Amino acid sequence: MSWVRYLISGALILFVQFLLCEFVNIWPPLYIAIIPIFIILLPNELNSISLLLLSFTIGLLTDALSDGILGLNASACCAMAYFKAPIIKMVTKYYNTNQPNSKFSYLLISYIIFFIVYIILDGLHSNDYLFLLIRLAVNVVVNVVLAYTLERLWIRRLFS
Amino acid sequence: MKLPPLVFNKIVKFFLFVILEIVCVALILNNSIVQQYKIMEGIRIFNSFFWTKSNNIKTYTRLRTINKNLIEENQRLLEQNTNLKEFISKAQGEDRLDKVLSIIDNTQDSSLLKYDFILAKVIKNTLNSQHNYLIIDKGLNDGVSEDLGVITPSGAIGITRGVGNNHSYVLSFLNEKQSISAKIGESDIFGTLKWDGKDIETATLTEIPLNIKVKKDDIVFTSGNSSFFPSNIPIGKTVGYTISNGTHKNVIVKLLQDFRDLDYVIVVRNKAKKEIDSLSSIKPIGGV
Repeated sequence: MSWVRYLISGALILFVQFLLCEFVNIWPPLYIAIIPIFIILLPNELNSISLLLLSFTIGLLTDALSDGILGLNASACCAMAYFKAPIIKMVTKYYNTNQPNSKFSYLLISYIIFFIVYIILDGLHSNDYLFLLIRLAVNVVVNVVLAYTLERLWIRRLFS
Repeated sequence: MKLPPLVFNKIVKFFLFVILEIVCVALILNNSIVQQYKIMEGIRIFNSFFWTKSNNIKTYTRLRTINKNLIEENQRLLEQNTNLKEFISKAQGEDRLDKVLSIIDNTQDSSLLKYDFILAKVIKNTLNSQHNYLIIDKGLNDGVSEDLGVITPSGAIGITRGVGNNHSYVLSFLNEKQSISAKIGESDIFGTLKWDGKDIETATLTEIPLNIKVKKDDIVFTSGNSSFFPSNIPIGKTVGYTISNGTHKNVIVKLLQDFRDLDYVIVVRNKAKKEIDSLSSIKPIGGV
């Protein structure tokens, strides 16, 4: 798999994420995150150290470009990257292949991990736990549906 | 003893993960958005290109709304002016009026006015997170400094927290870290007005004593208890209230200012701020 393709898709995803942060205002607690798709797309045989460092970098870049809290996306991306291999092992038999990771359950678990970390760190001052749970549920549902659609329509073609 | 490569990899991966997470949490805890605003100046050059372009498009498409708001504001001022003229003509010759007129005459001397107002254009206004902020096109060169209140005729918008030469960073009221001292109606009962992070149209006025009657559609004003905002600027209307811990009321307030429609704001410069701040910093002497 060509690294140039990953680089282009990474840059493209980062740019779209920047535009989403700039122009999409649906509900303040809702965060449309497409940056996890990049981590999902990275080849499974990529060694875990590189995966962690790449995820940290892309998360930090997202924080910087979106003018948000520095470290918020980076932390969530790192957590997602750390659990990538165990999740794949859990949900698919095809670990260590170059195939795009299209399984819905894989997307779902990855996004749950991403948003658990994101919402806990973003809501450090909040003690409204019910609201945090609702926020987690809404964010996971909206983002998984969006990521699944994107993956089906566009990314699968890009990487096939 | 030599560890198998797989185990060694797992240990390294775990420690790297922990280190990166610690770095992230440290960044989150130590780098507030304001500090970040200053750190990320380089990236902001890239961002500001998009902000300016998108803001120009937004302003252009919203000209009709901006004009409508201006006409409404003009009408409100005209009504206020007419009522005041009528009041003056009716009360001419009364001692009380003469005193009021002499105060008005005195305030024509700008040095006696307590506040300066600086009009600024909103370049960026975030609404999509729990930590929203604004960037305005006035900075040090225009007399803006840190910790000044930002208002519109319909409410308090935020406080300047970072100031560059030509731009300023305003911590929006729609930010969990921001709160405003406010009061209900013309009463002297005030509490803390805070955004709850859920709806950009409502906020909560906390710490209102139980014995205070709260009616629907009561106007909530700034209390003037801080050097940031003048008193009696309308902020919102009461919608209802809940009782918290059986000790006080939390009043739900519908904000008058629609934060989606922010085009121009006014920075309020309190001339006595330095004096107030220097007095506030004096430590009380013990044993008195």
